[in-house]
Amino acid sequence: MNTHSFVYVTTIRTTPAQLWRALIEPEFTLQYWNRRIESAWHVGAPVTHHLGDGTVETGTVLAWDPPRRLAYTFEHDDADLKDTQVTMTLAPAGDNVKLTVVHDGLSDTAHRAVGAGWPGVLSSLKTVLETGRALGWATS
Amino acid sequence: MELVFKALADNSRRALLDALHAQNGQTLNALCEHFDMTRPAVAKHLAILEAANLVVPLWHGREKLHYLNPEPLQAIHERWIGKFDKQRIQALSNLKRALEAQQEKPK
Repeated sequence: MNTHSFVYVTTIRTTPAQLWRALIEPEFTLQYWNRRIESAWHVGAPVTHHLGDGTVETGTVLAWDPPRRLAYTFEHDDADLKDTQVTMTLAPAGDNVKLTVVHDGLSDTAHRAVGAGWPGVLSSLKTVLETGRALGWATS
Repeated sequence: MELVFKALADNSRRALLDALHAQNGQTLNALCEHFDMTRPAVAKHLAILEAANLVVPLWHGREKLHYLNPEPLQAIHERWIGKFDKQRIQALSNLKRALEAQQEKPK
């Protein structure tokens, strides 16, 4: 089956360490993704997404190289995203961090779904990090 | 955002974005096949789209593939569309489509 890749590149005024926390800490992911992501965060560890509506999605960590590169799969059976992988790459750029999100292995349906989903999520991530809105973390 | 609007203000560049929307992740050679333009012309348009962050190149081994980046369009959406009543815009858009479809039928 022909698969698609979804790519999203955004520049966020933050540090790699803060962006990394935002990607992996459930209190952060809840802010911009309406889901808590939990994992022991090492290669091979399971990743569990607790969605706002009570749904649980699962996957496995494929790459763990803080604060540069994070990759994990989506494996849960009932979704279009089954057997797809997302890779997040962080690159410092002056006072900003360039975040590249690549979601691979997408069917036509999954490609449409993530095309409708990721832009809003990643735009919220940028807003949350740049304004610190609803977050209680120190800026040091 | 200036760069984005300038990049979008060209028919060939919008057609390039459409080609990437149909099939994301294409080489320069593959993109050239869709268009009646020289390779340097396509490369120049791609460079303008890349400068506006509308297209991002990613390397897969020795192949440079070009991908759509929805980020600037998302920003435009939030800035210029999101603040208006989305439902009303959708209703008008549906009405336009329905009327146009009716006009086409009698042909």
